[in-house]
Amino acid sequence: MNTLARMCPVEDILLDAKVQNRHQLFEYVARHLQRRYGLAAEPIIGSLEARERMGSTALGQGVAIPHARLSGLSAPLAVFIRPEQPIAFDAPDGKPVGELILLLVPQHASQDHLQILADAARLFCERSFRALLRAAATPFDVRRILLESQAS
Amino acid sequence: MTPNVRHFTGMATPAKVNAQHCLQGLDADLLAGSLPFVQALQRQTVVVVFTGTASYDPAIRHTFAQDISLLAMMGAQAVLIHGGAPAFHAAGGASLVERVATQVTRTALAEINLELVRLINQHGPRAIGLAGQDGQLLRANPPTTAGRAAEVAALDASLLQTMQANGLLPVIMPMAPDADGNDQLLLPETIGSLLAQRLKANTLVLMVNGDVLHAVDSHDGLNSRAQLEVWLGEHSEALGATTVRAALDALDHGVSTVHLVEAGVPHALLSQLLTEEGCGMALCRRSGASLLADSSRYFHDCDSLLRPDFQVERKRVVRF
Repeated sequence: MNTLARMCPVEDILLDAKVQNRHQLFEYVARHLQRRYGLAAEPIIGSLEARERMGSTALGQGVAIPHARLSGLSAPLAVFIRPEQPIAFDAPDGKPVGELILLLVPQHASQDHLQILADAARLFCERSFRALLRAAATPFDVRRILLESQAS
Repeated sequence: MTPNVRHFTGMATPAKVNAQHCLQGLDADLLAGSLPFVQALQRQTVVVVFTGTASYDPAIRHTFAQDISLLAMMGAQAVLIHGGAPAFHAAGGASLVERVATQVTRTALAEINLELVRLINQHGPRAIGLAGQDGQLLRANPPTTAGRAAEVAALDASLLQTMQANGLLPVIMPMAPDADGNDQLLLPETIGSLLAQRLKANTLVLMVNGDVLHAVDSHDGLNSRAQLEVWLGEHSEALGATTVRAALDALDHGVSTVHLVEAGVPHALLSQLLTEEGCGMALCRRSGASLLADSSRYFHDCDSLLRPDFQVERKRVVRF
């Protein structure tokens, strides 16, 4: 859990993103990562969409964990993103998604990398965590909630 | 004078922002926030079962009629099955008593049906009341045990499809004739589940008593559906078993989501469908465990495995 919070600094917490659908959201995050880490945007978008084709990464109740493996990535990355309005994400309950943790891991993902994904899924399955996240108004609030969640 | 009505093109602003205005602003935010949920329901068939003791309560019926009307006017294609059969047990074998019991049940259900249709019509949608015999919608098997509800023998949803295509909201009472023409009482949850399957609905809402929800509500998280299957196996006659059985059957036959909601909670239907969390339980055909299973396939060549309990374990490698 510590790892997830550490991986997601306030600079990678993106609130009120102006996106209308899943593809635009991936583009938005990929452009952000391109600016921030110098990563090529297109492979990020392609790998995230390839994973979605295997089944939506939405969990229902308005949350999702898009994730993908990325060639050339040496360390995992996490981005928290909240669209301005919840977007359709082919969620199991049919509801739009408003809170997402997006994970990118190296192509040769290790046990630690998979554990980050499992931790994110476990957190998002807790109603109290989802409620806290929705109430968080700033990136600092989101970051604080992620950090505090590691103590629970 | 401060205008109390803001015209669409007007620029007038009240001189003071009081608590009432703040509240209205909050309400407006809530309404604006519901837009993505409304979009998700557009032209979607939503089968709603309204049953339990709440269906006896005129005040709750009134609120519920408002809610389902709003849902229909927002673009959902709603189909309603209601309960409300009187809770009495006829003595088995006495045909006169059985006939009287059937008549009393039919009268009670018909009154609720008429009232719901009238209330919904008042709010805007065009509702139409139906019983099982209408358009040969439902046929029943006689109950195998006296005092128990009958089973559904046949269901023909073509009438409902025609009604949906013409913008009508069917309101169905849970009574249908058997092969001899005798009316039999059916379980609303069972009808709802079968109709949701037949109409290829994505959403089934079972509005039931609070105690039914409490009986099954301890099951949350990724494995809620699997846990409910186990629970049903161990409590096949328990309170809530009928509801859970209907829900699981719907999920097994193509319905994406079954919502279990307490019928007596005001606006529970809207809360459940138009907010992220709602106020009841949502059972999904595709669970969180499915997501982790997909991810396991995605990471199939890695040295570790994702487990449904959120743990990751290293694969065992056997070398020869």
